[in-house]
Amino acid sequence: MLELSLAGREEATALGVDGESVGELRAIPAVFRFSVIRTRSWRWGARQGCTRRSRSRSLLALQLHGHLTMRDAVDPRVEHRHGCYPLRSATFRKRRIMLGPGDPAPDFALPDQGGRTVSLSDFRGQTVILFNFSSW
Amino acid sequence: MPVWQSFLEERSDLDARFIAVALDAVHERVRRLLEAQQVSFPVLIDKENALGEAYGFTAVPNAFLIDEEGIIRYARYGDFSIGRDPARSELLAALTGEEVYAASSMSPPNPEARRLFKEGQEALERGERDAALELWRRARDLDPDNWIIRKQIWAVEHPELFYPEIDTGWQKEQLRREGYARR
Repeated sequence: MLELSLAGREEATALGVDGESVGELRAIPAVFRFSVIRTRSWRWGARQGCTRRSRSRSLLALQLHGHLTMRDAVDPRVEHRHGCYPLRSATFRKRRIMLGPGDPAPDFALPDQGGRTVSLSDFRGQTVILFNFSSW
Repeated sequence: MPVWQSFLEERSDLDARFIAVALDAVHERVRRLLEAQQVSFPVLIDKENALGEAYGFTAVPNAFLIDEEGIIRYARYGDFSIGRDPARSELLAALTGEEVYAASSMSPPNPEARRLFKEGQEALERGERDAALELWRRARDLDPDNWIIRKQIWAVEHPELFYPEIDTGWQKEQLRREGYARR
């Protein structure tokens, strides 16, 4: 049974039996609709495009459906797209690509409306709400 | 911005500092918008999209709640509007210390597109508008779900469709013309 641990917004490279890459996987909730085979401590509510996580993090065994390009771990010439396919034996090499709860907030130094430089670290010791927007 | 100003005045009991960051390569426009609205919080200009690179977002508006030790406690990528739920309720819950996860369908940035986008920013800074647009179009084609790139092109090519009012009808039509299909 395949096990992949998901935490935050990650992407993973699925590695085949020889350690070569057999596919790229974006583990961002809402891109994949999960049907859960076996879980420990995770509960996924499946609504179109949305998932919720319970408190603790643990390993999750899953069968992936949805928009995923992945070469069959057994036959590298077979490419599946937009279909349902169980992941067989694969290990994953993960990488965090978008930050989430528990990650340190990267510092920055940007000019304000008065031309003064403001850094996030100026506010260490205080709770900060950081909001990104644009005029377009 | 006025919505945030009222929210912060209404909830002055909240022990949090608010920082707004505007992602505008043509920042004079943001300054003009701010002159029209008096705000009591810092509004920073991030014309190189440093935060997009550091935090991993490809669209705005988004919001993060960061604790006293500098750790992210809540992150909402996309559709953050303080005047509306679910964003408003999520932030208020997170401010009480609750563990809140915001669903998002935003895709992370493509590193090659990011390089081209930066080169485009630099070209625009040098006054080379056409070169900037060309670089940004290449970036957009590599990363079609990246709204920061796509909208930057629109805003520079058609500033009149963004100031003083944003023409959302035009944007929908333009997406069709660009052959955009969400993956």
